[in-house]
Amino acid sequence: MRFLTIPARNLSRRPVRSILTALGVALAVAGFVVLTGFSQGMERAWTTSLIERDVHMTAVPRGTVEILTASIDESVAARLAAFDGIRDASAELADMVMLPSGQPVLAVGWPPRSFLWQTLRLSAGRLPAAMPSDTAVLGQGLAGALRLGPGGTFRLLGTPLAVSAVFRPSGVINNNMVIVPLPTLQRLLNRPGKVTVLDLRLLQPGDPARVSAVRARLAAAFPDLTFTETRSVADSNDILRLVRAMAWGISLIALAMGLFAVLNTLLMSVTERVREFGVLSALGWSPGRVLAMVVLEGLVLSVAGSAAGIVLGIGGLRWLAQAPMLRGLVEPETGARLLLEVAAVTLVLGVAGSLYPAARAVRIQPVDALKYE
Amino acid sequence: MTDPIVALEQVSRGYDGGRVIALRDVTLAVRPGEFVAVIGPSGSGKSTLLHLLCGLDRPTAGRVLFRGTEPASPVEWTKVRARHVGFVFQAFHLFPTLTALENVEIPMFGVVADRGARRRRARELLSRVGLARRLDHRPGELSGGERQRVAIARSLANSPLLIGADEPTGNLDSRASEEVLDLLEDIQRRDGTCLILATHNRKVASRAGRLVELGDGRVVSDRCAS
Repeated sequence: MRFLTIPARNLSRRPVRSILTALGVALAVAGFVVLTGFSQGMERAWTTSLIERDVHMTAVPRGTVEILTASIDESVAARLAAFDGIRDASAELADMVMLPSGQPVLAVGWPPRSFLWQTLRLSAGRLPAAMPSDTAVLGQGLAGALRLGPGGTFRLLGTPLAVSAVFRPSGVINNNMVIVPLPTLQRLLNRPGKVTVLDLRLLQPGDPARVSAVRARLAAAFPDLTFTETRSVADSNDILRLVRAMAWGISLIALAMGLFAVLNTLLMSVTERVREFGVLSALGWSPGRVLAMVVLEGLVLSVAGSAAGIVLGIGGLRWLAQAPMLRGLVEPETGARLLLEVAAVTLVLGVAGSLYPAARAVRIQPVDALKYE
Repeated sequence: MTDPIVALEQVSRGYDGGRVIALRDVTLAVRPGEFVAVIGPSGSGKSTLLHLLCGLDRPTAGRVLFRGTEPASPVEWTKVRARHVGFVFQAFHLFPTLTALENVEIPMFGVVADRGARRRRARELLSRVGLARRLDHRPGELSGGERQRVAIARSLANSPLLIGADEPTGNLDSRASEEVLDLLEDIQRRDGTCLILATHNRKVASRAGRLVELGDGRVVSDRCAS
């Protein structure tokens, strides 16, 4: 018999209670997976959308919380493009808009000759040298959902636009994006001459020291703007930080409930088995061995619960990502980082939930067992 | 004369802050290979004496010496119990979710590291107590006599110097009682294991070589059985 057999058999003594406890842990872990996977997925989606456009740095007005409501004069892009260390700069206007079908999409406007157009990997159609004002390029996901291809037309904010091309992005945000010439979107959103963000390409993006130096000089020259490297966008975005903090906050509450479920079950179990702990001590089991047995019971419960929770959580996350209001904004993030976090959470739940009951079990003396004879 | 395995020196055991005295000023030595019956009426302190002799309890006054020295801490006593003491309870106290074989393996955790060796030893002991065909049965599937035999096999797991048995036949019918006592006596004779048996039954006690009689927490008599 392996040592692990003993705690496993102890838990099988009251299967309904053990299953319900594991279910409590499963729900807590599923909540954790959904919420942190959601926030991590959002971060990844935003970062990927910038990286695949070959943007190295972005600029937004200082103090901006919600990037879509930011407002910068589009002429700043030309001044940035002429700055030492900058290869290209492009203005960009972005906003969430609702299509007539009720689907929310990210509408983006780029200047007709922006470098950003060249970063699109087209799967159908072609890009004219300068985009006409009544045309649009659609992400493949959106084109599929609208059943549109090159030559097709659709309405954006009441204005008919012709699809000139469809592009194949890797990120979910770009996949559900509609891109139109900047003047067109400025007119549709009633924001003439204004943009929300400035996208920069650097001359030497691979040299961290030079990138930092350029950023410092930019910050000095444009004190009203905040410059952020693309890879740090998720960390510096207040909305994403808020989502991340809320995800962790709610997850912690769920996990605390899971912890109390384990604690309560093991405490009941120890109370019911006073005699057995006394007998184990009488048979020469050391306090450490008794402690290990109870902690293992907690770990068995939390590992079983976590395994079920991961499955539930991933299912929930995929469902959430397909929900009409969120489709195109999040991609379920269930990578190694999340699994490592779940493993850590499982360990904490199992150990923390069982330490107090285990300490009580250890204090039981052999003679206590014999009082029950 | 050989040195005692366990000795009590002016030992008292009180409960409830000293309001209840279970054992008063007892001095007693038990030597290797002895079969000692502790007898007396209910409440005379038999179980308390047995628990002290087997290191399951601590005295409130006096000293308990195991092989000439007093274990310094509860952890030291745990080691003594693990390696040198076996115990048989009146109510068997087998673990209901484990098989007979697994129950016998329990005391070997921490003493015998190899899983295969633990299993072989448990199998051998259960064969010795006549349960070779009941290895995979759980306690709920065994008769009272069979359960007590599993408990005896368990007490032998680490080849103890001393076995304590507290009313081991108290929950058994007369036939099973005889079988269990025969088994314990056989172990004591063949292995030279010291056996201390607490009982209120004089017929059971008559099998022992030495009778220690208690009354009101004191040793009333300590004599060789005739």
